[in-house]
Amino acid sequence: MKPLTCYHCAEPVPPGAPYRATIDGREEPVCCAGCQAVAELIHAQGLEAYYRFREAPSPAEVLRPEASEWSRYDAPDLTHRYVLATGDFAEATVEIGGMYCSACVWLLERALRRCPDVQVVSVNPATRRAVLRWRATELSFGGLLAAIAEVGFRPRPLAPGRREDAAEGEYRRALKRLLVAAAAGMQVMMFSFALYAGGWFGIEAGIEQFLRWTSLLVTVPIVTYSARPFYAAAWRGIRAASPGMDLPVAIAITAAFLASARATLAGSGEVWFDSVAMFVLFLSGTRFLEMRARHRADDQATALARLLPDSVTRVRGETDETVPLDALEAGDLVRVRPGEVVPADGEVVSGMLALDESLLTGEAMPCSRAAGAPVLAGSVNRGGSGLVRVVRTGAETTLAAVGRLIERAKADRPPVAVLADRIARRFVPGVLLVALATGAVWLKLDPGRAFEIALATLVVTCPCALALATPAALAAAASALARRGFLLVRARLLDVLGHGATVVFDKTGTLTEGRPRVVQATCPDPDWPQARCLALAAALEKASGHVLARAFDGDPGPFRASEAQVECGRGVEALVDGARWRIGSAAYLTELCAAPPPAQDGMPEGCTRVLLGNEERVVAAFAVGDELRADAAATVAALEDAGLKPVIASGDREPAVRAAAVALGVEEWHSGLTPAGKVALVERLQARGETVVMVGDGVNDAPVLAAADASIAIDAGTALACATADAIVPGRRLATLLDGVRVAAMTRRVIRQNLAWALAYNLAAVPLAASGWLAPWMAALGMSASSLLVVMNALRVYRHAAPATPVRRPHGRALPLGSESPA
Amino acid sequence: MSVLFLLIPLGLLMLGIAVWAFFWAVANGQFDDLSTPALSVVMDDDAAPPAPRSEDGR
Repeated sequence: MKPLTCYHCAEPVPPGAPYRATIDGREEPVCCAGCQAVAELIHAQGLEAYYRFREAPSPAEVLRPEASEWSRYDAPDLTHRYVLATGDFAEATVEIGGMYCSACVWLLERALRRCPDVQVVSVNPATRRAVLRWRATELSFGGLLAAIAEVGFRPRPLAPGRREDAAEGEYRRALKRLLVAAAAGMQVMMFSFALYAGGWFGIEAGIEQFLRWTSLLVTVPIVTYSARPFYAAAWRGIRAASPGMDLPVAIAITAAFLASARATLAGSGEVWFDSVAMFVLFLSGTRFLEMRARHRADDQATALARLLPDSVTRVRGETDETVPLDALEAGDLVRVRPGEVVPADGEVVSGMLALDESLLTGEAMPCSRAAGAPVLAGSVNRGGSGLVRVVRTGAETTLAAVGRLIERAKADRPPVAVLADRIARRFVPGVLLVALATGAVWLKLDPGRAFEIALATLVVTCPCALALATPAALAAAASALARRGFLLVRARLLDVLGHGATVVFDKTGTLTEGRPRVVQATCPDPDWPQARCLALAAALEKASGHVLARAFDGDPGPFRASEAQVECGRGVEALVDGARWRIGSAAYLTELCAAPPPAQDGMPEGCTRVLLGNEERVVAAFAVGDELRADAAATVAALEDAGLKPVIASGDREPAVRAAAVALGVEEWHSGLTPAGKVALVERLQARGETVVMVGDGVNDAPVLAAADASIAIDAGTALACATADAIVPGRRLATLLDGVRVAAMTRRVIRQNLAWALAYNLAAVPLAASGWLAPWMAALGMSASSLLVVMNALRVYRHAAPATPVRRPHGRALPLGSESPA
Repeated sequence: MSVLFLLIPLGLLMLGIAVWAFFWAVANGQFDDLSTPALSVVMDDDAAPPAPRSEDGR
């Protein structure tokens, strides 16, 4: 297989795929008709700059709903729900799926501006939301959504109530607090330098007083505005009877400020406005970076309900009507077409569905559901269509129950966090006690110096460097990782992701691409070359809509199939150019044609064999399988080099998992696991004393992601998995994990250095301060320098983020989808 | 050195104006997306406006 990659989505181009996009007169290879259309459209509109500036390849076309799909949003019910009409104009907020970077925003904006009726477009890539305003008399809502889908995005209307303004408000408030701390802090530092210099070389008393008053004035907004979150957190800690690091921080800020203010008012004594300002600035800065990383991750992780469609087709009597999901009640009849998601738990009444329940059960192969069989909300209908009677909706569905399971798993905190909390709970009162005791002792020895020495002790003991040591390194790590497409949600991952950890991979969609492909094609007949066979197969499978048909989602070319008959679990038969053709399992073909099927040498292990033939001969044998990601083998090998132990845990069948494990050189693997089984496996590994990092992608992984010591959601298309994961890799590169491991190791090293320094500094300084040898200004200077050192050290993590790990792109190896034969 | 008594308040005044301007900018969403505008300058090049989209759009 030639490692051709698609011009648009950078996925490998399937062998013999006939698609070429004509760009600037050159023919560029593309992987499917969808990518071809999108690439040519982008070019035709003069938007090819998109390809130069985008940060990651576009997501491959998975399901491209037809334009008619969008027209259902023109139903009055749905339009009313999402669209705000103001006179001739209408406004709506739309979430844009598949928008990853600035180049995507630009592409969308330019494409929409070409529509004369779209008036205002504002697109925010951070929230993936676009606010659209258009002339409702000229353009329907569905038409607008179709225009967005045309350039390759997946629009999803948001009901006005669902917009998430809370995160935006928090971001803006934190940004303002940070700026005030930075701007005012720099002024205070400037005045302090003058004061320090004055202390050495002499200064006019009037100017000194003036500078101190100015410092006081400028520090007031820092203490009362920028530092407010620390007081709030300290107060929460007190009320919960478990004071955190924020309590001494709040006390040190308040005490140092009040003492400085008193000294300023009195006209004598030391002031520490600079220390207060820098302290607040450093802490706000790290909290700000942490918050941004959290928001970016949270944003992709919204509700479970997102999996369900907005609208359903309800059947009342003889008529179909489009109604919002909320309007659905138990007992309603719902029509489920191919490609649609089952909106509620229920029972098939008539027809036949091929349901992909991988979100709930982890089973990769769709299962057939005939009349009378139960169906679950969130399953994707891969083929067939039918009527479903609704039994349970909303919170009563299994999908919602999975969500609750995750919530429960999340509430159970890892032992490391509990230990850290316990230490912090003891450390913080200790700090306060030491300062109080020092003050009390000196009150007896020398009452005049008692406050000064107590404050010096508190300032020195104040675990600034200690408090900064970890969050600064973590924040630097979070931004370094974010630049590499690795969004850190919870810091515990960095603790865990390192030497000796066990990395448990889900197989489908994590190690593999998660969708079937033609891995090998044998076409012995010279009249029927590979491209022709694939086109014919595409024509036949278009009629079936089965999951394996997605492997043949190419262009049918000149072939048109008619009178298609789908025989479930076996294959498809149809008339093409007057001849009866079949595609399917060997047994199914033999019924039609006695000729022996072509010999297929070196059929990749575990693949499903699909034959194509008519009454006279079998023209092609395909091996269809779920390919390993191109960088899976290299990534697993590199993880092992880094001292991590890979394990595969999959809900898939045994031969498929074994083939993957062998191909990747993974020794320990488990197959046929249910979500509960995966959780049990993780608990078993943990009981053996192993630290478990879970890497998965789907909703069925979510409980196990939450149960592991740490978890990473990769290729995070599924919102729910993101919600529980400690880190999210939105891209498709598995090798991003290696960046994570490298940065985690660096971060742990830096945190250890920082903590060692901070402890050594405190241990050396506390006796000096308590014995009265340190003036408060020395304590403050030492504290600032110490903090600065710690922050600078932490920033090394950010700079350390070397260029992206080069990943070889070896041949994708085939993996079986399961042993079931194709439709 | 008495000029400091004038210059420092002036500096503070400018600081106040800067902070006010920044708050205004934040409230207007200027900081919501920090990367796209920088790139859009580069990308909106001088290419002639392409022909309007054909009817079927592909």
